[in-house]
Amino acid sequence: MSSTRDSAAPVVAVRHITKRFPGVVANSDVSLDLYAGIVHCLLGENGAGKSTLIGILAGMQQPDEGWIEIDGVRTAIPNPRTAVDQGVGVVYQHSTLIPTMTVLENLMLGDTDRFRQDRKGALTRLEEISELLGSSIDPDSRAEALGLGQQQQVEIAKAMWRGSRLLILDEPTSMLTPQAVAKLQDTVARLKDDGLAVIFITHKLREAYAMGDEISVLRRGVVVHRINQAELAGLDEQSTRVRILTAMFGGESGDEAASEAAVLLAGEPQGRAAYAPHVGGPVVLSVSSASTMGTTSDTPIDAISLDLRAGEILGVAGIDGHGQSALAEAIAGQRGLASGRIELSGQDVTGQGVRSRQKMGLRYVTDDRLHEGIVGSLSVALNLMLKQIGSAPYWRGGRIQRAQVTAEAERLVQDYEIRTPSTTTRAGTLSGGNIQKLLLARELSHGPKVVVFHKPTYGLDLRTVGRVRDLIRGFVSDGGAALLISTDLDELVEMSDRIVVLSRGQLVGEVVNDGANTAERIGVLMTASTTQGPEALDHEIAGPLTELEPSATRAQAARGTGGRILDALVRSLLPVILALVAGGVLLKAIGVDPLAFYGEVANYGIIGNGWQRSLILMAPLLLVATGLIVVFRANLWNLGYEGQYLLGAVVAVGFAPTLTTALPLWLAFLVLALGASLVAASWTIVPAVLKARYGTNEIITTLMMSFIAIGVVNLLIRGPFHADKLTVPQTQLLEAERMLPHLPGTKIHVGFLVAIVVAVGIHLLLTRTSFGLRVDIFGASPRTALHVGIDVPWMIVVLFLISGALIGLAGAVDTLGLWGYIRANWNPAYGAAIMPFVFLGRLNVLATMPFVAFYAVLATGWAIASQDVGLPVDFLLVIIALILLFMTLIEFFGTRRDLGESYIPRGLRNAWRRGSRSGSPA
Amino acid sequence: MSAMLTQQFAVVFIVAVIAGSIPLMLASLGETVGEQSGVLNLGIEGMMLIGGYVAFAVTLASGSFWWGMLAGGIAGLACGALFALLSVWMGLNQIVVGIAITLAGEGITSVLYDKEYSDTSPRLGLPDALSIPLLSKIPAFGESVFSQSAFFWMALAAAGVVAWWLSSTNPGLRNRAAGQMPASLDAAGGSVLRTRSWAVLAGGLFAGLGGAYLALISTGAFTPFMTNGVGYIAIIVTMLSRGRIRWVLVVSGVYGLTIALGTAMQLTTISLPTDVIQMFPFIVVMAMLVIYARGSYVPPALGTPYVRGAR
Repeated sequence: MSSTRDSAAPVVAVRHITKRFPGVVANSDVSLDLYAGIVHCLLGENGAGKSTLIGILAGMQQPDEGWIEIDGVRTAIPNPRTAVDQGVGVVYQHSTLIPTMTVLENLMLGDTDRFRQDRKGALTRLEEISELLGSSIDPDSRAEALGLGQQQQVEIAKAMWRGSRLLILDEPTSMLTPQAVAKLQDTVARLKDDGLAVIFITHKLREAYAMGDEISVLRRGVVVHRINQAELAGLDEQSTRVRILTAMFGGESGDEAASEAAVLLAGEPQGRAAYAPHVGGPVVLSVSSASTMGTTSDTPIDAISLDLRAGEILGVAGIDGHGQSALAEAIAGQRGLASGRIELSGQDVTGQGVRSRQKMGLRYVTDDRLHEGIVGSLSVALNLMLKQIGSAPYWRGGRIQRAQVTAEAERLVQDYEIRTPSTTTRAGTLSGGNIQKLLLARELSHGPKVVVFHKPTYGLDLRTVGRVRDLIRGFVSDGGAALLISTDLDELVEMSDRIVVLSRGQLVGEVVNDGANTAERIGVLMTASTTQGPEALDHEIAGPLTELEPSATRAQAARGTGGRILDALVRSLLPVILALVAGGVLLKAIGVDPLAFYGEVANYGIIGNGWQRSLILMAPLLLVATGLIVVFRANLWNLGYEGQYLLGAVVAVGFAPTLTTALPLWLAFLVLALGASLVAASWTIVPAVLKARYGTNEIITTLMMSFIAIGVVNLLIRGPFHADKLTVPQTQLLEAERMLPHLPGTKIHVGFLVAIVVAVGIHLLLTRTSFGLRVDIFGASPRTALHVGIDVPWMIVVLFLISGALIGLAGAVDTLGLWGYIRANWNPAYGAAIMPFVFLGRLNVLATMPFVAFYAVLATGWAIASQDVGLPVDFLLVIIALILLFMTLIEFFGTRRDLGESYIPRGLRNAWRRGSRSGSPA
Repeated sequence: MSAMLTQQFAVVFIVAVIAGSIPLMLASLGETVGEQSGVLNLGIEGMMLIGGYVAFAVTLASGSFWWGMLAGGIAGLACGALFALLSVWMGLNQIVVGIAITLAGEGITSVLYDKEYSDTSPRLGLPDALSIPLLSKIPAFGESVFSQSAFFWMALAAAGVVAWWLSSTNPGLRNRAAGQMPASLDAAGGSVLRTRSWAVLAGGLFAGLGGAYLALISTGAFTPFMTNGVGYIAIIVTMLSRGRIRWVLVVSGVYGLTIALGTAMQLTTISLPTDVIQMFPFIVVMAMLVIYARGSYVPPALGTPYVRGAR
């Protein structure tokens, strides 16, 4: 405790800060004084409000009440830039370094004022700071090539880049080895001597005592205890701990969970109470020299071998991002092996998929609860059953058995104390702790033998941490085998029988947990080989911020069903109305009377024979819409509709003259429809396989294939299908009696009925079967789909094939029923026109039908009415564009004001984030 | 005589390569800046059409290619501003907004062309060639590469400027950071929204210029739907070049070659249907995508609106 502060005024003072989030008061009347040369420790468990306070100091969030004083002057910090200008630097818990950029580039991001990069100046500045920190950093190495300790030094340099008065370190030690912690301690001491004020956030009492000059304890947003410099100097470590624990858990001291939490918080590894080497238990999981392929976002594992015996917990230690995900996913079967083998109870399962390994008793509790573990939009009950989809007794013949599912779900909710309003509540509205309990309930039921736990207590409150650890211990004492992957050394030391150390995808050693300096021995192993370790990925965790999200959804649920339907109706119709109004203004601008024109459109579209023409047009439109819905629901974009439609059309109408004479008519139509569907479906194979194998963006590939298809279709029309006696490039005209028959008494061909039947069939497939449920899960999160054993590449290909087939069928129905021939360069562009309506129908086939009917009337009437006034038909494209724009605008205001449901499934918004672990912004 | 023919053939061929490459290169430059900042612009096709139409109309009215180019660029910039407002500031779905802008661009230009020019189908002459002394005497290349208009050289200069801007300036650095890890840029005191807005504006400007170049110089006239997928190909060029401008030049050049091959074929005795010629670039691009499927790359934050504090 070096400097004194009696004479000095605080450098930064936090005054009466209060910050509320929906349903939570994150900070309540918090005040802090921060002095130069003083390290102020901020203690508190997850969700106590530490992060919010930091966010306010860093300009990321604005306080509802209270203010901040800098050098005694009341200063607003409206954005991070002001914070930087005012000398407040933050080192966040998760790395903010951009892995693909060099150290120097990362640092120069702070040079907001200059236009040209000032490399020379930056190098000089880095040298200054390095000297101060007592470390040397290679300015030209990429951030991802640095070890975690070094990355943290770069982060500190970044925080101090523009000159810092207050340095905030947010849980800086949580992922460091004991050796790196010592180095950090040294750095902080140097900075303190240099006159910097430091806020040090931690939940480890040991560190707080060792590094802090003053201590404040936060609990539920309130500062419940302070120990100032003079006081702290007079206290020994034990009495400090007692005071802090009393502050954090006072009044609940009789509570068992609280005392356990206190033990956890103290950061004192206990070692397993009754350590006994389970040499006798049979080996249930055996991994031998397993390696995975590298992906861009993750470290692969490299020749890993380990044996796991029944009744034992084998810990896997290592710095985050060193191959933990690859190891867990390889064992679970979510990731294939490049070499090596995996055996379950002596049986080789290397070639088996996720589902068959699950059946053999292997389970995986993922670390990415929100985006891999559950599907937030599905009910708690379905989430509990996620890995049983399609299997008896919960599903029979593809249909869900509600009674069985509910009964089982209710049993699990009881047994695992999952706090949820009901089993039909959406899982996404639960708190992080309850979601984790849900996952454990799912994985530990139905006869598990081997369970991989990946960071099972990460980001949870201390009570749930205790509960989760009890569940793991209980599972093992019943003869189960657990592989515990964790970045929390203390947890590993407390839980494991043996601990292996993972570094850069390899196992670098094994430590038997006999209680003698286990943590230090692991630390040595971790550092020995990780001076140049890979970058830790910024993992998504179920932290306090994500737990705040559900309240909005709950508010929504509180609204009545009737209100929701009304909302949905308004939101679906409004874009169309607005687009017609805006289109009317444009019409007026080019000299067409909009009211009269729309009147004409309705007139030609409905009156007289108009309705029949509209229904005829509806047939191909509905099929195209259904084809789009199939892929959109799965979060895939098929924008190759034009090409697929034309291929279907040309195949049908090109072969029709020959086939309809050679075969009975009905058989000819059947063959033609099938042929058209097949050819169009086959056109999606290349994009589908590229997407399934390499994740290549399907938006672009389907578009390219569409352009190629248009060329092929034109070639066919000018070549083999060219009508003999005509100079115009078109196919031979099919005589009326060899086209699709009409419905009695109308001009509507049977293709309309076919379209309705097929659309309803697809609707039932998507909404009523286990296949449809799998599609929805895949659409919500491809990672969850992989996790629960859905064959993702297969699903991508199948959905694209269905989509292509439906759109090809549209081409066949349209040409065989209505046109009878097609010309080169003809393109009705149904797909682009119908797309907005598919979203307005919320990707539900039945709900989309009225919209399709509306558009059919619009298009039919428009074609004739625009001829009358000499308006190009392409103007309809503008109307479609306007509908899309208004739809997204209403979506925007809708989410702002929390109205109804989104048109676009959450997953779709992130179609582009391939390979990234995180989902959409919550 | 035959030597003359070959030389003339070479000149036509090289001119065709340039005419095919430059509009795509310009559009890809803009798309590269945008994608590097984390914004996917699917409206590029519509922006090119609008830029092309406006440039064409202004050139006809003013008689000056310079005014036409400028107007095309400004029209693209305006589209970019709309896209920035909707997708960056309001955080609307970039794919849907992009498709809407493309549809609107197709519809509006087609309607306007139909109203104004469909009867006369006017065509423009050639812009003044900038013959470079000495170099323009080189056989084949002299009459093609070194006798291009000033716009050609300005387009190449623009590529150089963008490359320099991305690699050597702080705004360029921030642009890349916004696409890699926007939260990091925010924490460092930069503005993600502003950075992305500039990128989208640049994307609109370059798309407009690309469309203008296509209409005024490569084609000599505007016709509805004339881009015929070039805007989408620009997105592929961007994906394949992974943010490196020299690769934008190379891939655009390959595309120009395929266009020129089609033109060249028509001059020779080989008769190839125009449909095949039109398909050719798409097949080549698709083949490149298949071959380099693993190599194509998009920034991690692409397509995701930035919301501070959301993780």
